[in-house]
Amino acid sequence: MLNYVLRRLIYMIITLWVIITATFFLMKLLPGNPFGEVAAKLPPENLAILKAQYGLDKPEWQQYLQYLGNVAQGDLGVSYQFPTRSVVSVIKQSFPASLELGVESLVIAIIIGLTLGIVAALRHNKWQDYSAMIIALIGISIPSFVLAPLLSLYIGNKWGILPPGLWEGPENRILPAFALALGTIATLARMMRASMLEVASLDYIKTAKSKGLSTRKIVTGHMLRNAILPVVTILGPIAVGVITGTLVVENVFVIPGLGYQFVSSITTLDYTMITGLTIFYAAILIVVMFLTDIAYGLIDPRIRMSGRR
Amino acid sequence: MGKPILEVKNLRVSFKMYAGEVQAVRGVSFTVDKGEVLAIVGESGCGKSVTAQTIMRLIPTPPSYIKEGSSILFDGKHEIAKMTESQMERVRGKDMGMIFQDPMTSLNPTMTVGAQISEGIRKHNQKVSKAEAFKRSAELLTLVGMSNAEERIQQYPHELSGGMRQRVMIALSLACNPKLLIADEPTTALDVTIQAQIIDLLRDIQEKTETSIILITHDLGVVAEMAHKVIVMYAGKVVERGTLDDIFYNPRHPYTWGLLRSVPRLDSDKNNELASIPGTPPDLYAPPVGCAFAARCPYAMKVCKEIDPEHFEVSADHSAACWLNHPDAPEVEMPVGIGRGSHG
Amino acid sequence: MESLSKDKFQPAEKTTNAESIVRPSLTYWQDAWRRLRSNKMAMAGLIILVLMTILAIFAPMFSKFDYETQYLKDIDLKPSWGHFFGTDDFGRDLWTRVWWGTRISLLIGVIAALIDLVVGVLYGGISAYFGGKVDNVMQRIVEVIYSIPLLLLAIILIVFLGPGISSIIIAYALTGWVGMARLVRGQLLLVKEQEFVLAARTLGAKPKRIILQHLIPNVIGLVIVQITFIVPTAIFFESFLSFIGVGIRPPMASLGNLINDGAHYMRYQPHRIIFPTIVFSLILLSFNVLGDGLRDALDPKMRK
Repeated sequence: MLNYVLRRLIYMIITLWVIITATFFLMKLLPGNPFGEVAAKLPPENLAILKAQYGLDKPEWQQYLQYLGNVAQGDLGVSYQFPTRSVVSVIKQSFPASLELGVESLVIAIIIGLTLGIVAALRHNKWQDYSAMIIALIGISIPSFVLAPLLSLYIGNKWGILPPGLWEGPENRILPAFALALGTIATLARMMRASMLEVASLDYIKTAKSKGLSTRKIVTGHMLRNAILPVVTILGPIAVGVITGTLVVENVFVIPGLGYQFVSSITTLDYTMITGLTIFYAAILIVVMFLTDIAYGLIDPRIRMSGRR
Repeated sequence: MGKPILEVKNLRVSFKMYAGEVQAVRGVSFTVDKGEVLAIVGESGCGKSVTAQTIMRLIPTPPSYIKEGSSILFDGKHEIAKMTESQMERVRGKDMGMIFQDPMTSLNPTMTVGAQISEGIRKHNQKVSKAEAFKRSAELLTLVGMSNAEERIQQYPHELSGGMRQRVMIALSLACNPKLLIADEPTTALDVTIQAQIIDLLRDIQEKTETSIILITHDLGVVAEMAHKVIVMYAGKVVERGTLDDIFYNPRHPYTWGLLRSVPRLDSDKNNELASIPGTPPDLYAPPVGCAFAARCPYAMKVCKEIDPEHFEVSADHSAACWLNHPDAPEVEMPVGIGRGSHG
Repeated sequence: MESLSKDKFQPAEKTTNAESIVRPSLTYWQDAWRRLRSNKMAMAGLIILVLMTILAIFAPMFSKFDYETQYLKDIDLKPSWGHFFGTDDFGRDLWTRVWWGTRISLLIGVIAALIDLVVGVLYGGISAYFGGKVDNVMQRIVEVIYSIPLLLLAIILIVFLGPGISSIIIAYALTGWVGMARLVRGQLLLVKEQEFVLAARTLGAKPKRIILQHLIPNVIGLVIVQITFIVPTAIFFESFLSFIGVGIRPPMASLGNLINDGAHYMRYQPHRIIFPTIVFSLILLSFNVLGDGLRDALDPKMRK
């Protein structure tokens, strides 16, 4: 197990390094100077001072090392458009809302998705199964960027049942969290159903039955745990989907989160903000993937013991 | 010995499939006495596994259905064919245990061996504490010949070898001292050397506990090792029944001959070739009108293709469903190499 | 029973050959097609996709309008016989724009799938075929690329390269092929170890023959299924990027930017979001049910 964790850790670091390096070289490709429009009007000698201050007069490989060092210390640079704002301060300010939205929607998705999948499998080929799978198909074919505006318009504006946007009380949470969750609900429901049906056909379920266990006991004691194993492996990608989904949902519902910041920095072409936030997002996503991998190892005794994968 | 523990009468089981009805078991009758080992032999697909699993009602309905008129009388009082699911739960694991074919897949991979054995114990003896159940599990593992039982119960199936897992399966099926043990191809998935050990173990336990056993197998070597009575199944029917000696030394059905000829024997002449039975069993979507074996039978007569033969009694416990046993049928020499002592 | 006539006990003439009882054999593809056809959902998906493709190709051709010309006197019209889907705030005909956008989206999906197919199959195939050290190094690379979040990489690439169809395709192609490569390699390794390949090798079959006769047929089903999932993923990818403003820019139309545009005007002109959304969702839905159907139809394990 320790070996396994270490190996995943090394991959995590390599992946982050690749991303940071990519952003560095993309920045170098940019025409003009790194201080934005404001600096273009400065006299050349002042510009030289500024460059020296940021180490831009040094050879590129030194700049690259310094960039790596800065990122490693948690310094993601300052905004290209508003040099007084550091990327980290923006993250501190807006990440909590995104985190809350992401976690809420993930919890909703896991509860509803798994329940739908389990019910569908236990009532295989009955109306419960068909309805759950229709919900799942709808969820897959209506992505968040379609669902979010529609929810905001109809339930928010036209019918006035819930607020169409903003981030104030708990009632503001419901629509965005659900808009973000639907796709995940669908994926989880389909996967859980398939996994339950697969497990139900395995020999050891017959063994459990031959011991005289009740159907309930077989489902809770033998099927659920084994059926959930493959589902855990996709929690990583699912979390990635939820996090990227916040980019859309926060913009539709005008939520002051990181996704909103990210998209506005794209619109204003705030290059340093974009790269800084990208590195931050990438770090989160990779850590989430890492954690789900470890979680998988913890609940599957076959991996827990041997550390193979 | 003596009193029957299980009486199966005219058991018919069908599977309703998309393409129609598969008649997997077509009127099977047999009895198992207390302390007796009954072997059911036949090719794969002959209905022997379905019969075995139906006795414990392990095949879900749908798609399988026990047809009207079938009777499975257990211990003289339980009519299995008509029991409800919750009644069955009290019988399964307690009065009957089952050993499955593939120990690699019949144990839950995410549960310790001890938990899997004690689960059954606790289901049928509510008063037993968890600790006691684990203790009993360890004793059972010792009984089936596993050393370090105390450590073994904490292990997961993937930490054990195939033979070890099958021992766990046996311990699990014995957990509540069942009156009847059904072993569905218990050695097929194992290495040859392990096969012998498992058969020895089963025979040993059978002698110690006097449990009745139904042994499902296609391996006649295994049958010879431990069975008292044998029934031979083909295409969902019993084609011959008898004692071990009847079947091995005086078989009366060409299908049984074919089965016996396909087993290598140490005492047979070297020039006897190992024979296989040509062809495949019939499609049970639409069973043939006459004898199901007629299409593959080298001795087939006109009557065989028209009328399905009843059982002809050879002796009190030996009968065969074959027209060759009809008084008007021509005398047929049994193929050489089998039935030693029957024709002089 | 006792009264049977003696001649019934004469040997029967061998009418049926014992070996001929088995059912008529179908080839793998006939069998798969038979099963796909019996799957109503998958067939409905296939038919919808064919219709959508036809409309995407021909609707803009036969329309009186084109996707970019602005008719400033026809601004913000509701759907009518003149403009089936209405017009937008520049007076552009939405019927034409929606089908033009469908064409672009499908094109991106298909090109992305083709790139995935070529790169993924080659990479996975080489990795599995050579095995050993080559495989090891290639797989380490795959593992790193696999954990890079695709959308983020695409966003920064497009921000720096500038938006457009080719940027989207390049961004997708950079990481999209990895899934296919893993799949192909996994399946090939599985097949390679199976008895029939070992048998063929023992019998002295040449590598070319083994690849053509054994490996490719066993991988192709899986690849086809994967493609039916890649196309909608790529379409989704484009739409997502267009929605957050780094995808395809107007006046060029794509389903993503039509939906994004529509979202801004949906309060007063719901038709602007509804039509592209319906087309988009139907495409995703159809690809998904078709993919599910194909997976069931092509899965040899399910073959009875």
